[in-house]
Amino acid sequence: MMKAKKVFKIIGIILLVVIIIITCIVGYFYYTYTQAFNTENKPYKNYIGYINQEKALLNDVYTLCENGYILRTYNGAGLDAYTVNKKHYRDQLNTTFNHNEFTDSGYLNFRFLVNCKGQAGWFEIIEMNLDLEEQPLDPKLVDALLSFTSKSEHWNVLNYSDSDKAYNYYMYVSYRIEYGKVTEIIP
Amino acid sequence: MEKLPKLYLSLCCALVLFSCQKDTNLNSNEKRELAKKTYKAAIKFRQGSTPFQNGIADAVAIDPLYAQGVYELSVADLKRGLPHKWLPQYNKAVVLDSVTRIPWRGYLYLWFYRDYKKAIADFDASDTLTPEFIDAPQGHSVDYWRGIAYLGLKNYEKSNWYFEKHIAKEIKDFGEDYVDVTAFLYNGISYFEAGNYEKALLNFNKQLKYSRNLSADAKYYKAKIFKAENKNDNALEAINEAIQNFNQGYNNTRGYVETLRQLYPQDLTELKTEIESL
Repeated sequence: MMKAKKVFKIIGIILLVVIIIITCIVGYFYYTYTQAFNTENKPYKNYIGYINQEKALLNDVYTLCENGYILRTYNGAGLDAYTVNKKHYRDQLNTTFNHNEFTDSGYLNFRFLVNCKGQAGWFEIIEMNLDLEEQPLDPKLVDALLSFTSKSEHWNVLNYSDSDKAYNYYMYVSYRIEYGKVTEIIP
Repeated sequence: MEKLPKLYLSLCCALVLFSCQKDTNLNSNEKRELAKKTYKAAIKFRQGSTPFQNGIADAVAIDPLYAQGVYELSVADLKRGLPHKWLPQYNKAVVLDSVTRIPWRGYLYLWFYRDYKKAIADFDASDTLTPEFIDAPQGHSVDYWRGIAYLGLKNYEKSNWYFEKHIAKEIKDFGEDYVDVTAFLYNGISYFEAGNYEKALLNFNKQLKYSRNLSADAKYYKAKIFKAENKNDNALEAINEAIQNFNQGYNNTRGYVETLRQLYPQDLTELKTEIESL
């Protein structure tokens, strides 16, 4: 009788220790995982490429679909985003923009969101010289390219690969400008 | 009851196991090890996410000379269209590891900014940095990349010179079948633009030989050459095959950005219409 009691006691202690160890391990990983996302006193408060929708330009024209979840934030939607394809986009730009008489050189980047209906908004603009240092460009040139880039007709509706359902996506376009002419469009 | 001390001891051991380690008073080797460990934990998260960036920032804070961490902090800015943030961070990595990062920066200038001159300057600098060997950022020699950059600049003579150098070395070291087919393609395009159709055809045919005769690009340029030589039947056959290959997905592209001289369906149909009207 005493022996059986002792065996139960030992089993009980072993079980208790195992449970405590498992709890510690799970707790440790849970803690490190959640701590990794804690941005308090950390240099990066948002993911790279995050667009603050409160401050972005043209943020009140359209609305994001569903709960506002944004895809393609890893590197933008790239060549998938251009309506028809990039050659079409380039051709349109050459007919509407490159006749303008600007003299600036530099890079002009637009970072923006396109909703599930292919409507573009929420723009952030980066104006740079050809050494990629921030430097203002001719405001008229910036306006002309913003007006062109923000036309929703240029941007595709992108669907989830396994359904007909469309999503909101992140996109960036970079114009290399030499003597007022767009010489390269990236991506 | 007599077992309780043992239980407490086990618990203490567990606590010690999971306790935090302070990184003060570490020597440089220990700092590097801890930085690497912190970096490895951070890169389990998605590139550019807050735990990824902050984790690597922690690693760099532990060991500010840890070049891999300093470099990795720049990458998401590059891919997501924030060059003004990418370059200053990237250049910190150049200071720590110029041998790796200067030719690599040339590659990035070439594709993400299409700044051919800056790219060439970095590839040239790598010749001086490592005169005993030819660097190969992203899997291709700097000679291959210079061939592309000079094509971008429309300096076809230099483009061909670097491609010939690259191809000759690859053949000598590994054999012709080891040469990346795009080296033949771009070499051919530069010869085509320079008006040297004979050498252009030679390169396009090499490309086709090593890609199971499947390349919309090689056939598109061959059609252009046949058209220029008034061989209209050959030109039509070539463009039709080019369209077929394109529709099968055999055309030159690259990840993240458009490639140099990327073909689109409009290019193919326009050339076909031109040939048919002759």
